[in-house]
This record gives sequence, C-alpha cells and structure tokens, in this order.
Amino acid sequence: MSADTLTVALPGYDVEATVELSRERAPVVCASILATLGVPVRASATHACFDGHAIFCFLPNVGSVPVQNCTMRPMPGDVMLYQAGVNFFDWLHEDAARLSPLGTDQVATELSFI
Amino acid sequence: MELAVELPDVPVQVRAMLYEQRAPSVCRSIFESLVEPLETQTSHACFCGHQIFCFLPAFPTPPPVENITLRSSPGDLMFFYAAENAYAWMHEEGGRMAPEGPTAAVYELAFNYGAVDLSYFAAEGWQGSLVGRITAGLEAFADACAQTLEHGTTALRVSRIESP
Repeated sequence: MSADTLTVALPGYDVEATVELSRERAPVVCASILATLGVPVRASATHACFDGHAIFCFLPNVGSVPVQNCTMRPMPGDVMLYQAGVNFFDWLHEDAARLSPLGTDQVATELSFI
Repeated sequence: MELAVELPDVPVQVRAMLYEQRAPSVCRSIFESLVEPLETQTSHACFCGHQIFCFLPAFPTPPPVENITLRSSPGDLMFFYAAENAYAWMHEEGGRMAPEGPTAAVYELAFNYGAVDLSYFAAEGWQGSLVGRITAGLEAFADACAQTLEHGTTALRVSRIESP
C-alpha cells in the first residue's frame, strides 16, 4: 500500500475499502489527513442527513487547512474533507455538539465517504 | 384526527394531530390507511435533514397535494406521494425500502424532529403536504430519532387515537 492510500474498515460489517488520496489536487489537505492518521482513528460511522448517501466521522487533531479541490458534486466513491471553525455555522451547536468528540470549542474536521 | 407514533424499542411515544381542515383529502386517506396500526421500521432522511419516515399501505386512489410547503418546522408531519416510476431515485431507494417493490407508488409519512430543508426534492418536482404536527413528546422523540443516524433503524408503530 502506498503512502497515499487509506484503509477504511467497518469492522461491524467485516468490510474494508481502500482510498487513494488526491495529493496532486489537494496537497495540503491530504498531507494533513495523512499526518493525523499516523495514529489510526477509531470512530463510529454517522450517516449524513442533508448531503445524501454519505457517512462521515470526525478527525482529531487536524490543524486548520485550506479548502482545496473544492466541489459541490462529489461522485460515489469520493472522499471529502470539511472543516468548520468555532462558531462558524449555526448547525455546529446542534450537530457537532452531539457528534464531535472535540465539542464546539475547537475546529471541527469531518472526513466524509460518499 | 390524532395519531400515536411510537418507537417501542427506545421506548418513546408522541401524540400528533392531523390538519384535517388544511389538508382534508390527504389526512382522510392517511387516517383510513391506519385502520390497522402500522408496525414498521424507521428510515432516516438523507437529503431533507432531521426527519424520519415510513411507508404507508397503498391508498385506493392517489391523493392530491394539499397544504404544500418547503419550510416545514420541527414537529411537523409531511406526506409525500410518488406515482409508480415517477422519479429516477425510486429504482435505487424504493427497491431497498418500499414494501411494494422497486418502482411501485410511494406513500410516505415523514416526521420532522428537527431542522428540515425540502428544497432538494422540490427542485426535482416532488412536493409534499404538511399534514399535521406533533403535539406532545417531541423532545425525547427527537433525541431518539437523531440516534438512528448513528445506530441504525428502530421499530416504529403508528396508530390512530380514536376519539372518545
């Protein structure tokens, strides 16, 4: 497995996928993801309720990253990274407070699997 | 016309009233379809927001759209009908979820437990009827519905509350 790939497993279903990161198109974002996942993240999958057929989790300890390779039209199989600063969105107080392990006083970083 | 909506495995229960003045035909059809209590499973919306829904048994005749809104509120009940083969997504979603098969007509009753945005489906031409609202028990119901995003479907029972 190359340095630019991730393994995403749902152990409860005994399924696993391999993700190839788009390092040429989103170099800073992908480097941050890889750095964060120097330690594997174990989380609980949450399903999107506005975005369609996506599950997501929150990543810990990701510094603030720029938006790169931005799209509103991701395809099935794509992986998206989202960040929201403290107090930036109204919904943070509802959703991130419930879901993010970091609470609402830190940047929320979400990795989403379409 | 009132309904009891239960998530028996949680357990939580809410009471809902139907808007029989504002959406008379749809509410009557919903109520008549529940002559026997509906025992089913929750599905969670994945485009519309904080909403769970279920499928009702087919009505004898397709209902009109009444009391349309794109801006329904937490606690509102919405009804959506789609004729057989009406939308491309029916081949994907309907096949997985609808009891009558992949492209059969859809009679969907939805419960808004939090913020909802119906503009996505409206842009495709699917309009819903605002048919009622939860009158008691929303807070605990909302907590339980939100849990299904993380923990999956749970049992759902919808039944008439018969007037004394």
